[in-house]
Amino acid sequence: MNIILFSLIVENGAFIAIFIICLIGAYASFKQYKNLPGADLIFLGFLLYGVYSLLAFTGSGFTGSFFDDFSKVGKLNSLNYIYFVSFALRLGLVLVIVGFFRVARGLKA
Amino acid sequence: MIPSSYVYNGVNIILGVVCLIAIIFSFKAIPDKRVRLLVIVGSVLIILSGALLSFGLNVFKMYTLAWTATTFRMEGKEDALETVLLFKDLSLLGYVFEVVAIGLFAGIAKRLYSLRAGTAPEGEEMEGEAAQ
Repeated sequence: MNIILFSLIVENGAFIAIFIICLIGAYASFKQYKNLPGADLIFLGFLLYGVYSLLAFTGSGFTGSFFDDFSKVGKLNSLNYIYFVSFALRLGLVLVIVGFFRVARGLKA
Repeated sequence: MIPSSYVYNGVNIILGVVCLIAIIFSFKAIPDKRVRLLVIVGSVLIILSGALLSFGLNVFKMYTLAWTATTFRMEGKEDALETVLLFKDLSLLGYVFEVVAIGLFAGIAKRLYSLRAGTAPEGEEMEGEAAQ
């Protein structure tokens, strides 16, 4: 029983931490997006990743496990499309990495 | 209709490939040493977390099967349920890696902005701040 509670705290705590970090990263990028090409991509990527973590800890109920719920999802239908959408939002990280390379292009060695 | 494991594995594989490409290209494209190191560490952590999560979920999907095997004491499969639950606990490590990697990526973004602000002409910066 205890280990189940512990795993729920770790999982939901991780998603909350990711959400807060993504908000910080997105805000820092939003301040720069007019000056730097690439910062807008990083902003968008952090925003998508933040929405993924937000859906992951609210979608299954705050005390539920996203991992556990996702394992019970068989195929896409109207009841569980939110799991498909939220996990696909993880691809926002691709935008973040592409944005890094665009911003780093202007750096001097 | 799309099976859920296709989406889960597909997303993790795409992220893994992109992170691998990022590691290879970071040697050429990122001149700052500390940023390059952070990009490599963050990408490795994302690859690890994707692998752990994907593998953990694919094992955990056999929960019902393992439960049946344990409950009806199938020969040689008595601890199947324990094994399946172990992979669920292992996948928690994937989430921890993910938090660390995202933290590193946010740090990289902030460091890149401060590096660029140092090299950018001062006039532009003033204009940007005035606009806000």
